[in-house]
Amino acid sequence: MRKVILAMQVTLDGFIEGLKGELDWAMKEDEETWKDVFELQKSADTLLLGRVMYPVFEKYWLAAPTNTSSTKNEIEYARLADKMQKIVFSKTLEKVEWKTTRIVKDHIAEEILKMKQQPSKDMVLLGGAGLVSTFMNLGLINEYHLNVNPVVLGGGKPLFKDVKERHKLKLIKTKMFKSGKVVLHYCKAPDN
Amino acid sequence: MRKLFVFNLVTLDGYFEGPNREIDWHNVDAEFNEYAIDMLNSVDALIFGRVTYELMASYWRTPDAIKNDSIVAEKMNTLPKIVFSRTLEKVEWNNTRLVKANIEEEIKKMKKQSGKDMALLGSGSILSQFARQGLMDEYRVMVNPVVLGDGKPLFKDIKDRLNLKLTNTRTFGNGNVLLYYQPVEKEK
Repeated sequence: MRKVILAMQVTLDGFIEGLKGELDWAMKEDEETWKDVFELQKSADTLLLGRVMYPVFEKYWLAAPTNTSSTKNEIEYARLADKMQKIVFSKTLEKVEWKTTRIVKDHIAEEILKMKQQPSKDMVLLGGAGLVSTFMNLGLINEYHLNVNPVVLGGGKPLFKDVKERHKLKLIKTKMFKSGKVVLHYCKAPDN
Repeated sequence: MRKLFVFNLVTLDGYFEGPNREIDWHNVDAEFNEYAIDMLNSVDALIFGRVTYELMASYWRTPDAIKNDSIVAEKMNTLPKIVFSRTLEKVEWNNTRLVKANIEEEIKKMKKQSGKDMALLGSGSILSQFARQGLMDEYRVMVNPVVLGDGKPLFKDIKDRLNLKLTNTRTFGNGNVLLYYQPVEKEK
């Protein structure tokens, strides 16, 4: 069955952003990270995003192909993202610029469960934290792909902020990058 | 020079205890115990803050602990222990020394003495203090395969960014991942 895979950069203390939204610690130009990102993108055909994150994501990646400061990897990411179906979950968002984006206003669980039944590639949950907690509380995430960055921020936006109950996981893969990132892949524990 | 490292079990969301001090999520088995024994053999001092000290002192001396976990209990009960606390009046656990003030000087002095490494166990606030003072030489974080959703963060009182260098990892059969880091810049 089609899976929902959470893919995130986190700090050792579990934050996805600093207190002022800092992301500079995520080592954007790490080649091993990009290789992983592209592999995941190719195994999937859908990106799932929350209301707060989506407009920033759209603006950045729609402009990336023509932005002179874009790196080669960013241009490739933008090209792949453009071809993927993007779904933004929002009750209030009225319209989006990106033609390959669809807005889902409600009934998240029903929508995702229906999509999981369709014979297709996997879906990647990109965040933000609010949507991640919603998905976890609804039991919709099949796999967690986390890159733990070698830094403690001491404060920021936690990845699992509003998770309501304990989730037992099963470790399925680990990998160490030269940059000091640790890749951890989990799935739901069978007894969860 | 003697190295001071911290060893902690944390959840994937970065907690070392649940909101009500739960540690029932600790994922321990024979392989973990083997690691714990190796680690205890590599040190000749255990360092605690008050909270972890009280927890450990009340557990490791019980007949249950001595019976079920005899090797670790024997180590915990006989190794030299230091507890840092302003409020504790006395310590009753075997081979324990209470230090009430000048923690930083005490640690620096101990590092200069010859001996095996020193392990800081548990203790969110003392860890943050040591990190801030540049006293930590190594961080060993054992990430357990669980998300609690709430609890006490391991690095709670760290206010400034702490850049680390990954030096080693070990994956355990039960899904724990042990991450070894060194601080990138030490202030002192």
